[in-house]
Order: sequence, then C-alpha cells, then structure tokens
Amino acid sequence: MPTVYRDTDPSAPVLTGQVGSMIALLDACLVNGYGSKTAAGWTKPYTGAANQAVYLQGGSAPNRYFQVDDAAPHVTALARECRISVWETMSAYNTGTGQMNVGAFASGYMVIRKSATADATVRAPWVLVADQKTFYFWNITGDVAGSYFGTWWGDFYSFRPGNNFKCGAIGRPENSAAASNDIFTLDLEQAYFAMGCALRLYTGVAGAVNLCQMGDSVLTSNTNTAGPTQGVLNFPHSPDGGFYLSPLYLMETSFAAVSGKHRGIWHGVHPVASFADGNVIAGTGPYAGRTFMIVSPSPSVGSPNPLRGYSVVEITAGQWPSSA
Amino acid sequence: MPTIYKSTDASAPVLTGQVNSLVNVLDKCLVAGYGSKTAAGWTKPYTGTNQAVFLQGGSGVLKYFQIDDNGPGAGLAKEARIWGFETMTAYNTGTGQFPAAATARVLRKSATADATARDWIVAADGKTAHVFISTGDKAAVYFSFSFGDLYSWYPGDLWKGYIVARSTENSASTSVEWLYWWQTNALTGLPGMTLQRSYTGFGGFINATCGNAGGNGLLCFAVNAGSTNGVGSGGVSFPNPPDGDLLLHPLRIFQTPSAPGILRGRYRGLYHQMHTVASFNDQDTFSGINEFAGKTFLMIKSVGNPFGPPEVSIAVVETSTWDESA
Repeated sequence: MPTVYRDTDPSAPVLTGQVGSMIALLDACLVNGYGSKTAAGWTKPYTGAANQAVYLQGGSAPNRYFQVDDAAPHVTALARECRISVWETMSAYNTGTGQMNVGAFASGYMVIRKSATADATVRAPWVLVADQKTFYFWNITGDVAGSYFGTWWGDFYSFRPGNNFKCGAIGRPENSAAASNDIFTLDLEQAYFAMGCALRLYTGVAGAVNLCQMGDSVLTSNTNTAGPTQGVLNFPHSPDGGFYLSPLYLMETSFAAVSGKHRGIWHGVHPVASFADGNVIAGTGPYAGRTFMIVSPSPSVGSPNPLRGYSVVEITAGQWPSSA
Repeated sequence: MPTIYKSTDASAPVLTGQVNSLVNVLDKCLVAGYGSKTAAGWTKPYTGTNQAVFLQGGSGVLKYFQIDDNGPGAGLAKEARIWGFETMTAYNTGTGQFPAAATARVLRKSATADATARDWIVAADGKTAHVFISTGDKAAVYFSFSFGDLYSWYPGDLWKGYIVARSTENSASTSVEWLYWWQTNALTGLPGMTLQRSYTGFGGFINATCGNAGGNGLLCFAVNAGSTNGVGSGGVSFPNPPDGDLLLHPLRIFQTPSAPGILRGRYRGLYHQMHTVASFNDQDTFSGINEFAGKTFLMIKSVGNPFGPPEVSIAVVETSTWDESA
C-alpha cells in the first residue's frame, strides 16, 4: 500500500540544494523509514562515491534499479539537481545492463530539480508517495513560486500480461529552472510527445522506448497537442456531487498502442482552483470507497499558458494494483 | 433490450425521399412491428397529414416526439422535421416543446426527393431510438439522428429527453451531421443537439450549448493530429497491440460547454471506439470484456461527421440491454 511522506512529518529529512540531500530523503522514505513512518520497502544495494546511490525495488521479481547521482553532477546546476537513471540489472554503482537511453533519457539520465539555489536553503513542501514498486515525488524548488515540480519512477500498470519491463520514469531535462520543462503533469492530447521512458516495449524486445501519458483530454481546456492535467467540470460536479477522474494512460513509442496506466496518479478533470494543496478527497462513482490526495499546483506547461495543473494521487490502503 | 431494425429485414418498410416514408419506418419500428420484428413499445397518439407523434413506452415521465414528414422545408420530402414535447393533446398542440417551433431539428432521409429506396438501421427500445440512413448523399455513409431519453448522472432526473439531428435544412453535406462529433479538448456545443431541460428542471430547453464528450483523449490520434476537432474514431491500432483489446468508451453528453462544465450523462446504447475506421466493416458484431463484460455490440460504418476528410466515424451500438438511469 502507498505511504505518504512529507516534509512536515516529525523527523522528516530536509531537502536543500546541497549534495546528498536527495539521497538522504530517498534513504529515509524508501529504505529506512523515519519517525513513525515505515520505509516503502526498497533496498540500497550499491553506492558509488560520496552522495551516489542505487535503489532497488522491493517485493517479487523482477526488481529494477534506480541510480541517483547527488554529488553535483552538472558543472552549472551543481547540487540544485541530481541525476536519475534506470537500469534493468546492476552489479555495482554505474555498472549494469539495460540503462534507459532514448528520448528524454537519451543521455542516460534525467534529473530531479531539488532547489533553485545550490545552498542550504530548506526547500519545502515536498511530498513523496511510494510503495515498494513505484514512487511519485513533488517538491517546490523555489524556481517557480508556489509550484511543485514532479518526478515519477518505477512500475506502471501494464496492459500486457507478463510484461517484465513495465518500469519507467519521467524527470526533468538537466540544468533548467523552466516551468515548461516540468513535464510530469502534462496531459498529451494529439501529437506525439516523448515525455519519459520505459525500459522496454511491451513486447519485451531489448531497448528502451519513449513513453507518453494521456488523460481525459476532452474534459480539459487545453488547446492542441498537450497541456496541464486539469479540467473544466465544476466541483463537486453539480448533477451528482461527483469527483471526476480519469486514468493516466501510458503509450510506448507511438499512440497506436495503449500500453498501460499509472498505478497511483490520476487525471483530475476539475479546475485547479477547485482544490487546495493536500486536500484529501473521497472517491465517487466508480471510485467509491477509495481516497485521493491533491498535490497542487504544478507549473504552467503546454498550452494554454499560464494555466496550471495539479496531481491526484491515490492514497487508499491496498490500492495501486500491480499488473500480472 | 433494444431491437435492431434494418431495411434488409423481411417485410421491412421502405424509406424513400417521398412524404411519410420516414413516419412509416418509425411507425413500423417503434409502434407496430413488421415481419418477425416486434415493436419497440412506443405508441402513436396523434397524427396529421404525413405527420405523427410518437410517445415513449414503459414507466416514468414519458416524452412525445413529433415528426413532420410532409416535405416541410427547403429539402422537400428529402427531409423531415422533429420536435419533442412534454405534454400533448393533439398534433402540434402541447407544452414544453423542445426546441422552439421555428427551429426544428432536421432529419435527412434521402439525397433525392423520389422513390429511390434508401438503406436504414434503427436501434430502439421503449425510451430511445438511434437512426442511421444511407441517404445516397455520400457513398457508403450513413447520416444519423437520435432522440428519446439519455442516461442521466443526476438521480431522479425528470428532464432527460433529447434530440440530436441537423440544424440546417436541405444540405447534402456531412458538415451538419452531429451525432458522432465532438472536440478533443474543451466542450463545444453541438448545433444539432437539444436537451429537454437542465437536470435542475429550470430554464426550459437547452439548445446547441450542449453536446458530446467522447472517450478520453485516446480517441483522436492520427486521424486528425494537429487539430482541435475530434471524430468518433481513433488512431489506436486494432487490436490494441499490448493486450488485444478493442477500446471503447461511453459517449458522454454535457450540458454546459465552458467552465464550470457539467456532464449530464451519456447516451443509452451508443459508444465511442478508439481505433481507426479501417479496422472494421459495416455491421461487425462483438462481445465486450472487462467493464463491458456481458454486453454485445454492433458497428455501423461509416457514419458521417463534420470533420475531415475523411468525415466518417464508426458508430458502436449496444445490442444488449440499454440501462436506464434512476
């Protein structure tokens, strides 16, 4: 079941623009736990030099590797960012097979933007929601006032039974403070857009593939191609009091195949102003009995600007189903 | 349970571009039955000259649908006109008329005002009818309209009557065919849709500021990339390569086009499929799985829409029971 980790938890780790702060945060949330929060069930099998680490999914095989270089890897961005990469197998830090290396991950990595400044300024809020296979991370870096940047890494729900490579990520391009590069909360509409990457195509043929996501675009006010995850339905929806959601579907390589969906995040189709950050909303209709949390707002991305989006993350005990 | 009536059935009535032929087809399908096909359970309480009023059957608040098939407009007997009423005491006499008397919705019957027979398909139960007519205006394309009750998401909705047809008379074009058209983003009204009233019951009928909201955004890829317009088809390969599925979505109806938008409900028995038009043949049938398990479907190819080329969609009609909202 997913656990919600926040900067406001007792004993929560502190995120800054200094080397190692993201490693400390991931250690605390994924591997060790802190305060009253138990860990999400990952391990940290390898470390490199200082402030470099590899995290491994927990639970039943196959488990995939997530490498973090939080030692100020870029000459300009310094410790404002850490590099994240994804591997099928590893035997040591930066040594392994099947590293994601196409599209947005063409360099072999994307980044998590930690802070607008490479210093000890405390960056908050941050929210990490994880189970042993998947995590979503939102943090306000100070680059765009009041806006969360976002990151996904881990498994998605694959529509292909027996898909052993149903693992991917969406991060940010390196050395950028721009809101427009925060593609995690982008809802694709028509034209192809390589938002992130998956380890392999659903067929299992070797080689990473581009990945893009699609919500219920018909119920947004976005114009063309892509825009933020938000919508136009009033909230609560007046005829039935409903809280309307759509799965965030994932397509690999092209839009001719719908490969799966996110396990824990959804596209909310109400306006961003309907919710405050941290609101907990009870599901309605097909989602009755389930519980969702708002992370809002995301920066203005896609078209039209300056419209902002938001994330809906499911926090129901026992949910985040894994595909067969 | 709907019945699927076709011009190819034994003893089926013949639809032409002559007066009363559409009234006769609807009378046989909805009221009287023909051959081995039983009627859908409607009645015909009032008539005029080549004119008739059809009343829904069954329980609940029943609505009247009046059809003037006497060559009422510029299209002469190529077209008929339709209105809804909440109560009636005689042909063209009643209350709660939707839309207004002067803005009837238009039903295209035939490209020619003559005795040429036109193929048709009617899918109907006691509350709702979807009509597809190969008018001859565009080769191998059905023009379409729909009337009756929608499935409302407002519990206890007493005002769920609707009509979707043409808002323009005497046109051979798909540009005024609205049943299988919507936009991929934001909610844009259908010029040919009229809702009986808001779900609140206040304010009279809703005209043209209501419309369709198809499936999610998967629907429009490739078919019309780069445009904000959508059609009732999609760009996903068939079968969907990862899992072999045929991807369907209910065809939703909204009643407020801009924020705060309001979804009223969905069509009864009409769906949106997300694959390319070329994936299927006219009158293919299939059974649902997953959330559509236990349901059966019929495809109607091609159905005209305003966007294109190719200006065509595939209509997916449920052939198992159409559920009714409370």
